[in-house]
Amino acid sequence: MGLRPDKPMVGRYWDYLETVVSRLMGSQLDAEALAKGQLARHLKAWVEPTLELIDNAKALELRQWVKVQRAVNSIHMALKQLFADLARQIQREGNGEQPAEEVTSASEALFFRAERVLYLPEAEAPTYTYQPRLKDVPQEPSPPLHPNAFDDTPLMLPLGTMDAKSHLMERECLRQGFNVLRTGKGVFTADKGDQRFYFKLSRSPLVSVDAIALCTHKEATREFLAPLGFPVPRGRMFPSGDHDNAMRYANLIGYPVVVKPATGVRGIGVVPNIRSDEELQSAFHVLESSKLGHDDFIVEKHIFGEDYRIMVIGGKVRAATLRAPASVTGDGKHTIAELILIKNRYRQNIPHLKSRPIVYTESTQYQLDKLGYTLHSVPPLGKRINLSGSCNLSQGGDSVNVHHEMHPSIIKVAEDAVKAVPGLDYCGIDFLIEDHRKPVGETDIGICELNAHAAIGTACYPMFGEPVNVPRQAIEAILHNQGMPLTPLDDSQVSVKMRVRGRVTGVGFRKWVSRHAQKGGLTGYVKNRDKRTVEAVLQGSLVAIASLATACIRGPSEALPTSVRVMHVKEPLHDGFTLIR
Amino acid sequence: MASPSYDKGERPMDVRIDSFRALLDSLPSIAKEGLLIHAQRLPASARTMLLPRQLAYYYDRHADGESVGKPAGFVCGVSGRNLLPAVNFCQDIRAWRARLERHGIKVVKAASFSGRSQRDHLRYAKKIGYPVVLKPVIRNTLYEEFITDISNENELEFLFRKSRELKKNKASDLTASPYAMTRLSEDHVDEHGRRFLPLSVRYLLEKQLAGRHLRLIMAEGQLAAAFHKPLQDKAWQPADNLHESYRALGEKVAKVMQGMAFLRIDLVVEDPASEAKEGNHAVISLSEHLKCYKLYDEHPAVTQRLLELVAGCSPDISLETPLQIEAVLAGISRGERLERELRRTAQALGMELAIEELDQVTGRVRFHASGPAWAGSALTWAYANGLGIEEIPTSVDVKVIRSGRGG
Repeated sequence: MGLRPDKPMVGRYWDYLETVVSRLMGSQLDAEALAKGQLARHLKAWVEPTLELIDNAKALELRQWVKVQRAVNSIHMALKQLFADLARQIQREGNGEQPAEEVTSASEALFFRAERVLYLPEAEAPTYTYQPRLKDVPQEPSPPLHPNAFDDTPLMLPLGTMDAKSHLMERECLRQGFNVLRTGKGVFTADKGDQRFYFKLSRSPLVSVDAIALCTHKEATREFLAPLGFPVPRGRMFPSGDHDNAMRYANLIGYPVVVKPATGVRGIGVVPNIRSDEELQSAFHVLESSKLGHDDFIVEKHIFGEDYRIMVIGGKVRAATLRAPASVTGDGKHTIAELILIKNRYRQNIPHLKSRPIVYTESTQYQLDKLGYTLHSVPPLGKRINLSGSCNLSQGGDSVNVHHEMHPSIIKVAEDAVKAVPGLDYCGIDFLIEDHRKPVGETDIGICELNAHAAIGTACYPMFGEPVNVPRQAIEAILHNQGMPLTPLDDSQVSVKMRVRGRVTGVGFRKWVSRHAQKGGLTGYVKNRDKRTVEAVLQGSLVAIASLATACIRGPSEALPTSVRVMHVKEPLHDGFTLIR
Repeated sequence: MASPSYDKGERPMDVRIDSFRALLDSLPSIAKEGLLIHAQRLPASARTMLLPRQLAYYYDRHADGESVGKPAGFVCGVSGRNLLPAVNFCQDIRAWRARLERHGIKVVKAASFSGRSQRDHLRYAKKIGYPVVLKPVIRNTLYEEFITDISNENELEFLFRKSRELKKNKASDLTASPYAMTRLSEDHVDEHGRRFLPLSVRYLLEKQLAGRHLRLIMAEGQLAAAFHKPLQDKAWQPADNLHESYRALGEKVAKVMQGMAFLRIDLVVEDPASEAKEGNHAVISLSEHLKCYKLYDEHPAVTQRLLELVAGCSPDISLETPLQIEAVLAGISRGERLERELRRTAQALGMELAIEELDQVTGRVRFHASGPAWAGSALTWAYANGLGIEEIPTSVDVKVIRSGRGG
């Protein structure tokens, strides 16, 4: 399928389905075969909606593209199941007792064959090459980085779409021998002896009230840091409608400038790189027609460069993550659509990005139109195609740890900025940097924000570059700060007792726990303790235990748990996982 | 004299205010504690940075008068020495109640229900017996909203009859205290001007105990002050003959509430002078907000000592001592109006004012002002927090040029 760029994506998708299924069933696939239920039930369920999708496929519409992406993933899963069924059938036909390993290997072999037919066979792993432009001149590129793949990904499946921030902190607390009481998706208390820490998202339990007050107000951060000589973009806030003063101010600080709402969340109403009075005037129109148009707004100096999140823990920079906008790099063979699918496949290996694929949206279309491409174009080898204007990871952006090549002067600025704020324990600083390999004077640089609950998963599980266990260092810094010894447990053999309270009985909670425990390779048991409590003993790897414990605050769809208590216990090793009725 | 209470649209600064006490009376309660700390710290600091939402930073003075080191931070008069997670914990009544109970500290009998389940409230009230108190489970930082003296079923039912969905209004900058989970605020008023009970809030229904109110103020784990009063009274009396067991109780609570450098514990007790025993006392509320402004009028000496503890310094000048300051306001867009307001406010406070720079493009306004120390503090505090003025700057940077200590 990869070699027929002239055919629309949906058509080719149908082709590969047809190929696979025909090979499996030894006949051409037609609607009749489908109707007769000659396909496995799961596969049929997934194929039917696609059938309709293909019938209506006149032009490649946005929503269809999203559906295709979803269908590809789902078909993948369904086929896996189908092959397992087939393998079992083979076993039965083979007159009796075949060892279990052979069944698995048969299913794996089938699956492997199908995957080669199905799924973009000869694609190389996407790489990331850092090559900034200074005043429109491309700089020397850095060596290319290869994508990471983490073993933790399948173990973190119970979390689903839950944010991993709080889970990562909980995991490290458990590792240090703390017992944990979780009362909300982002809130838990870790205790050991008399010592108790209260965690909310990834925020430090040792942060002071004033530090958070400062960090959560961007103007306050700017006003605080600017007089101390930190590189914050020059700018100020204006009341809604004060365009005359804003224009004069823009002329005073000099173009290019950025206009954004004062209380905005990333992206809404922001107009970057305004170069003249006329552009500024139209930026005001954009701002006013946005959702936050009636709010105060900010005019500040535009800083060229990309978005960085620098984690400072214990006064030292531990990770510097570049958040690049969603992009694909051409290989001269595949279309952009296929490159997106390839990249999404590699994103599946990153827990933090697993639920954040590159999705074809209007903004992607806009970016492609700008470059004169369509989804079916085959970009030349090495050509990077930006698919989004925003650096947001949720919109398909890449996370790249660039700590190894960041200039020491930038690192010093970051460390000093955190030191300057009293009561701020650890923090993620958002920077805009033109070229992170150059010293502060030679490259444009600006602090955008101090982020007290930074997304630590980004640094922990980057797509490219070396992963840094930020939560581990954060917890170690907290313990060090409190004069407590470090007592890490063996990651691979942890034993805990878990009590989940709330509406957890009669809703399939035990079954749910047991399914995820088995998937995560855990041993132990789960049982109902009383009408409102489920109790489980979990033994096995820390990652699997921690992710299941975090996910328990949500549980299966019918459940309404109110708290999850996880305590370390010393129990003899259980053999397998039992659901006690 | 000042108007007795502050209201939206009213401008307390229009009238002549001739004392710190009068000024304090004219401010909304949400800004009072912050001003008390500000008046304490401003004259003693080399440089003061006032930021939005009542955030204030004070830089210590070096021997040569220059600022030095890291500043001390305060939000709404709450010291930055309090850790945020601990404060959040304190704001969640269910959370701290559970923790105190686990440590064997007696808390008042209560249970929490969703605002939508009127039946649960009525059933529980019947079980514990009237009178009861109704309060939101997540406490707003400064307004401790609660409804007391609900003496029978009809009254409780009536409250819920008035209830309605909470309007999702953006909180004003002043009330949007950044560390507060602002669920209830003073302006839950319907279109007819009646206050209503928001439905989307979880409420705690609490047994209203008979006895005396005892207030313990803890600083760094030690008892700093104790007051008591009959339940219906407003004025607090110092608890001079406080029984040792209550001191121990306060210290235990402070220890349990790790991370709270300053903590106010409210109890209902039979008699503060007799020993705390089973059934004669219960903790009813905990807060990071010490409410020194409630004690300021009647117990100036004790309050002063408390303020010094929280502020972390003792000013060696009185509030009446002359003070000269240089202030820079940033983010000003309507220069003329600001100038008028500034002159009017300075005049109301009896200060001399000299505006040296007023640029509405850069948004900077620089002025010198001299007058009594309290007026200097008040002027800067009022501007930083938009109290009774139209224009709210994004920051106020204050330097003390000369204070009464002969500098």
